[in-house]
Amino acid sequence: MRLLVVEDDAKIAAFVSKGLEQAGFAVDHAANGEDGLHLALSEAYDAAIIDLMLPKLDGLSLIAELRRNQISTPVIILSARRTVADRVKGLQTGSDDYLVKPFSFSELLARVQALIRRTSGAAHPTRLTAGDLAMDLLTREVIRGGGRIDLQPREFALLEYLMRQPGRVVSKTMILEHIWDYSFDPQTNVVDVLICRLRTKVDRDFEPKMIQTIRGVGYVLKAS
Amino acid sequence: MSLRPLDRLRKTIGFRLTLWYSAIFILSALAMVILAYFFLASSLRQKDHEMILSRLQEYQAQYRTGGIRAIRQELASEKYAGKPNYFFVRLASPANGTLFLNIPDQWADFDLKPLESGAIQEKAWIHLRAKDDENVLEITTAKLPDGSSLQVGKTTENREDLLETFRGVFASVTLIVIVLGVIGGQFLAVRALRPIRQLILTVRAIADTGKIAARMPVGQTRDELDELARLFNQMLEKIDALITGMKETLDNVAHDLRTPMTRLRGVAEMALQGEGPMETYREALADCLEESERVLRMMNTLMDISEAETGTMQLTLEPVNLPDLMDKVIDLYRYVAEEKHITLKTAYPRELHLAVDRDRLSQALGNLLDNALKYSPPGGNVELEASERPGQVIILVRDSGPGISPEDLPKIWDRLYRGDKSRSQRGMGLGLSLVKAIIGAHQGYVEASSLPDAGSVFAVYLPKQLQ
Repeated sequence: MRLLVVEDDAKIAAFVSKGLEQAGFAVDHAANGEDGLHLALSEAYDAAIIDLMLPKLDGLSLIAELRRNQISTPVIILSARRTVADRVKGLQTGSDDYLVKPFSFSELLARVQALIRRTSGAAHPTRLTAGDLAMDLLTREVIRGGGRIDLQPREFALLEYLMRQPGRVVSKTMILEHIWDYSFDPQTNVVDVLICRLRTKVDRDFEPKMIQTIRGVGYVLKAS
Repeated sequence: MSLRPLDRLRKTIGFRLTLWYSAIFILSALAMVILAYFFLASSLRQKDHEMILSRLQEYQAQYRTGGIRAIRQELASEKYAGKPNYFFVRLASPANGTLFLNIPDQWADFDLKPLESGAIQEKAWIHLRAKDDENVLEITTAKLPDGSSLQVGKTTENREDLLETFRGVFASVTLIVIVLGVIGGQFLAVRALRPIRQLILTVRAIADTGKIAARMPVGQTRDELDELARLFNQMLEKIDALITGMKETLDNVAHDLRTPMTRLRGVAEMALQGEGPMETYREALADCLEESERVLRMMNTLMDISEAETGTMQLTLEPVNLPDLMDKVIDLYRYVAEEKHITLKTAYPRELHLAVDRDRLSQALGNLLDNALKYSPPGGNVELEASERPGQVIILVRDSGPGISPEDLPKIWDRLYRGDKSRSQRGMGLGLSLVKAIIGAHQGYVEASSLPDAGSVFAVYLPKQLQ
C-alpha cells in the first residue's frame, strides 16, 4: 500500500509519515501543492493525505485538479478549519474524508485504513469473530463463551464497529460520527457511557477483557 | 508649494458649495436687475413716444385749422404759459425743405442735415445723435393734407438722466447682492457641512486615539445628515460590541486555557524529572493527551460561542422537521439517562417544520438535554416539549433537579458560570452560553425559570422564518 502525504509543516509530515510507515505503508511526502500534484499525477497511490493550506497550490485546487485528470485516489483532507461549511466544501471538491487539526494519529490511521477498505471494495462478511466473541450480522446474534448476549441497537452498532477493525484504535469522535452521525462535542461523554454498557455485557463476566481504553486516544478491541 | 493650500481649498465641498450657491444667487439676482432695467427703459421710451405722438396729433389738428401760424401761435402760447418747451417741431415742404423749425434752446446741438436729405416716411422713427453728448433726438413724422410733412421730436435726455440714476441704484444693489450671495453661500456651506465636519472630527478622534466610545451628536431634524450620524453611531456601537465580545472571548480563552495548560505542563515536567517505571511515563503521556483534548474542546466551544454572538457563525439554514431532530438528540443521550435511571418524557407533535441550521440546533438542544440530565437526581424526570405558536416555535426542557436560586438565575447564561451546588458535577460551564449564542444566531431567545427544589424549565423560542 502506497500513500501520498502533502503537508508543508515538516514536523507534522515527519510524524505522520513515520507512523504510517510503522503501520506498514510506503509513504511519499511532498511539501507543497505543486510537488504533490506532480507526484499524484505520475505515481499510483492507494490514498492521499492532503493539507488544505499549502504553498504554491492549495489543497482544494490540488484535489480538483486530480479529479479533473480522472485520478480517483481516495483523499483525506487535513485542515485547521473546522466549520461544517469548510467540511462540506472539502467533500464537494472530491475529497473522501476530512480531519481537523489537531488530530490524533490513531484517528488518521483508522480513517486511512477505512478509506482504503471502502474503496478497494473489501468483501462484506456476514459474520465477525474476535477470540471467543462472535457476531452474526444477519441474525444480529452476539455470542461469547457459548452464551448469547442481548445488545441494544446502539450497543450492537458500536461492537460491530470495533469488531470490524480489531486491534485498531477508534477515537471518540469516530464513534460519535459513526454511531450517531453527530459531529459536535456532546459535553457529557455519551461515548463513555455506551462503552461502559457494552463492557458490562461483553466483558464483565469474561476473560480476557477485550474492549480496552487507550487513554486520550480512544478504544480498541483486542482478542488476546 | 504655495499653491497647495489653495488647491486643497478648491477641493473642499464647502468651497464648491459656496461657489455654486453664490453663482446661482448672484446670477439670478443680476438677471432680475437687468430685466427690471430693460423693462423700465422700454416703458420710459414708450411713454416718450406716446407724448411725441399726442403732440404730433395736436399740431396736426392746429395746422389743419390755421396752418403754420396756428402752430407758431400755439408754441408761443405754450412758452408764455410757462410750459417747458420740450419738443422739436419741423414743418417740411413736399420736397423736404424746412418751412418751420422749433428747437428748444437748452438742447444740445443736433445735426439736422439727415432730416433734409432723407426721404420722408410717415410714422417711422428717426434717431438723430447729438454732436457733443450721448443724447438722441427721436423724431416721428405725419403727412399733412397739403403734401407737406410735420415732424415732432424729443430728446432722450430726461429719460437718460432717469436711467442713469437707476443704473447707479442697480449697481449698488448688484454689489449688495454679490456680497449677500457670497456670505449666504458661505453660511449655507458652513451650516450644511457642520454634521459632516462633526463626523470628520469624530472619525479622526477614533482613528487617532483608537477609542470608539466617541459618538456623533444627532440633531432633531431627521434629515439625511442626521440619518448618517445615526447610522454612523449604530455602526460604532456594533463595532464596539464586536470588539468587546472579542476581547472578552480572548480573556476567557486565556484564562480558561491557563488551568489545563498548567496541568499539562506539570504532568510533563514531573514525568521528565522522575526515573520511574515505564508505566509512569505512559500515564503521564496519556494525561497530557487528555488535557490537550480538553483544551481543544474548550477552544472549539469558545470559538463557537463568540462566532454565534458576533454574528460571524455560518448557519446553513434548511427546512427541518423539529420532532425528527429532537428524536436524534434524545437518541444520543438515551443511555446516559438510562444509566442515571432518569425517565425521558417527550411531548411534541409529529410534524413541526421550521428553517434552522440542523447541526447547530442539535448541538444547542443536546446541551440543554445534557444539562437537564446532569442536574436531575437519579430516578428523576426530564421532559422535552415542543409546540407551535403563530410565527414561533417553543421548545421546553424540564428537569427535576435542585432548581436554580433566583440570584443565580440571571447568571447561568454567562460563560463559565456554574451554580455552587454543581461543583461536583463535570462540565465546563460553557454549555448554556453556547445554547444562548446559537439560539440568538437563529434570531430566537432562551429563558430559564426555576423554583428551588422543583426543577428548572429552559425555554427556547425560535422564529418559524428567519428574516
